[in-house]
Amino acid sequence: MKGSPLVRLVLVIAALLAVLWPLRTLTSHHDSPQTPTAVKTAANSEVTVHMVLTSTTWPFSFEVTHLGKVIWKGDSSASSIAQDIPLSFPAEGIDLVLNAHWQEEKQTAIKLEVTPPDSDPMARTLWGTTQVGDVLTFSKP
Amino acid sequence: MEVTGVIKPGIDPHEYEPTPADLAQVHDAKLVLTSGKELESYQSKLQEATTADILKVGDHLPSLKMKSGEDSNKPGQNGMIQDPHWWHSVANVKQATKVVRDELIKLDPSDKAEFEQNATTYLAQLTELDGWVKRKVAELPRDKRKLVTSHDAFQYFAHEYGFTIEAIEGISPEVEASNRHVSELIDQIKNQGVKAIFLETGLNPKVTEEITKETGAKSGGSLYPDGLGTGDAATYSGMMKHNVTTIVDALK
Repeated sequence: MKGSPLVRLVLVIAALLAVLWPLRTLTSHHDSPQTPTAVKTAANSEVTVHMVLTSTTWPFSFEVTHLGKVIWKGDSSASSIAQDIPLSFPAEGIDLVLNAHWQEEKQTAIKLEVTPPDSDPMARTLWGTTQVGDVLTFSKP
Repeated sequence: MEVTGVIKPGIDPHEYEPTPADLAQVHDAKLVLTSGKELESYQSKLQEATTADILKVGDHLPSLKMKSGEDSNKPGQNGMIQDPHWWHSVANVKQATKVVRDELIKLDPSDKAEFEQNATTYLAQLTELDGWVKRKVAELPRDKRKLVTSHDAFQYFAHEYGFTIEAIEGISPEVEASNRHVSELIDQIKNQGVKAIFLETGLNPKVTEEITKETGAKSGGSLYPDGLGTGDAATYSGMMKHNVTTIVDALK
C-alpha cells in the first residue's frame, strides 16, 4: 500500500470503527426503554374512584388526604361537589382523612361518598359546628 | 390528693416485684390502682400489705384473649388468658379515666367537681391523641399494616387501628419462640412482603437476627410494649407517639 503512513493509519482506524460499531450495537445489552405498557402497568394498580362530598351547610372548604398526600382540595359554593380520583384500592380498603370547615356556626353534617369501580357507593358522615376532621375508612363489603 | 406511681417509667411490669418500701407505700394508701387483667403476678402481696380498696382498672374494660405461652404460670382456659396490654388502645385509656374518676369521687365526694374537671381535661387530651394516632396510621396503606413484634403485646393496638399482628414470642419476654414458629414466621414475612419487624430491648437477639437475615426485613426499631419508657416516652402520650411513629415510618 502506497501513501503516507498517517493516511494509512487513519484509513485502518476508520475501517475498524466501521466494523466494530455495528458489532457492538448487536452484541451489547441495552435496558429496555420505559414503554407505554410499563407505565400503564404501574398505573394499573390505581383505579378511578368517584367521590362526592355533600354538606348541609355551604359554601364550605375541604381537603381529602390519602396516605399523607392531599388528593382533593377546594371550595364548594353548592351543597355537593364531585370528582373522579385515581387511587390504589386494595382489598383491605383505604383510609381517607377528611377536613372541612365553613363560616356559619351551625350543626352540620358532611358526607363523603366513595365509589370504586364495580362496587356500590360507600358513605361516611362527620358532624361539626364550624369544622370537621377525621379518618374515614372505606372497604368493599 | 397525693398520687404515687410505684412502677417507674422504663420498668418491665412482667418482671417487677414490690420492694418493702413499695409495700409500705401501699400500706399507707387509701386507694390502690392496678392495671388488672392478671398483669400483676404480685397482686396477693398488695392485698396482704393494705386494707384499702384495690381497683383493678383493666378489669372494667373489654378483653381480648391471647395464648398463655408454654411457660406461663398464669391461669387460663384452653391455653388462653386475658391480654393485659389494654393501654395500647387510647379508647381503653379514655374508659379507664372514667373508671378512676368515679372511684375517686366515691372515695372523696367533697372533691367531686375537681375530679370531674381534671378528668374532662385529660379526656380531651386523649381525644386529641387518638386523632393524632389515627391520622399517623392513615399514612400507611391498610394492606401494609402487618405488625411482627418480639412480644405479643399489641393486640389492642392492632384491633383499634386496623393492623394484623404476628408475635415472634408468646406472652412474656421470658418465653422463647419455638423453631417451628420461627420457621412459619419467616415464610409468612416473605409471602406478605413485610418490610420491618420490631424488637423488644432485652430479648435474645438471635431469633430476630435469624428472621431479618432470612427474610430481608429490616429491624423497625424498639417499641415500648409493657408501659412507659424513658425520655420523651416517659408519659402515656409520649409512649404512644413513639410506638406509632416507629411502626408507621418503618412499614411505609
